[in-house]
Amino acid sequence: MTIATWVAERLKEAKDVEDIDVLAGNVIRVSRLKYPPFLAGIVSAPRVERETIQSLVEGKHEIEIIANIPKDSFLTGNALNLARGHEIAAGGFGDLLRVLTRPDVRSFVPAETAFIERGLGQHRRVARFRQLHDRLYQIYLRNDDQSDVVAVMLNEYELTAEHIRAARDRYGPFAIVVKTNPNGHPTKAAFEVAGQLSADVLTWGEFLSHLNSL
Amino acid sequence: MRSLPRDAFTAPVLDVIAAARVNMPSLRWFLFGSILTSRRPVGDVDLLVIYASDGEPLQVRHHLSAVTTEIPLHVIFMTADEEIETQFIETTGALELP
Repeated sequence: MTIATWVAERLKEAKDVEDIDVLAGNVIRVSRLKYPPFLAGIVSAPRVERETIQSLVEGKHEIEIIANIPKDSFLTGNALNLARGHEIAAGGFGDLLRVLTRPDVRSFVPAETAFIERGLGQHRRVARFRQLHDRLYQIYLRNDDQSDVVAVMLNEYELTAEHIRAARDRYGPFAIVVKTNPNGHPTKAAFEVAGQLSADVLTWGEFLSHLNSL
Repeated sequence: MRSLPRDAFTAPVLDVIAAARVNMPSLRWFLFGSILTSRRPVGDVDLLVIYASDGEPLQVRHHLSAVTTEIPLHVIFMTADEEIETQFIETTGALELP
């Protein structure tokens, strides 16, 4: 069974779905009860690079969203930029479920991303920011030095030591770990590992305050 | 005692976990989240693994890689101390796999 077929079988269980057709190896057409059908590109990679999705983005099918199935995976900045440049949404299987009830699939942005970028965009000390990868941001500050800080945004309920280590393996160095999930807490071990990596662990509110001090 | 029904969604996950556990018998494995309900489809399969040494999460990821490209498996790793600190099992109603 291909990954697209597996996704199609799972989506057929959703109440908003009328039918799913697998058009090609990794393209499905989702016919919905309430809104027009849309095409989705399905990929399955631990690290989604530009090259991973290029054939989908630039192919003959008018893809409106690309979904990467592995949960423990990430989308690189290059992949996100390519999708964005073609007005194609990008996310995971959960996001594919979310767009079932949206009239406009292409404009979908994961809620957490929208929240983060709105917050950064409204912060008086932030001159601009760049999404390096899906959860890694480089934030340029309004100060005399025009300095910047790199922060990883983790949405875990309970932020553990292994979350920090895995983020470091995946994204490289960062100065701040921002726990965007307001529920739960970082564990003591998470703080210890972050300290070993010379990174601070902050809640979203603490992070916004911290930017004021930089 | 609760048990997880085997269906098209849970079966491959349970099979891979069973195979991984043969190689790492000291770990504790739990399922939690919407997979434990009858609601379908689920966005992902939530798995808690309690480990003892720092290298074990990478080994687990390697063993689970056979299904993670096919099933949206969300694995959270905790030490026993972290689980005690967070009371995660009780809070989430996680089901330990026998």
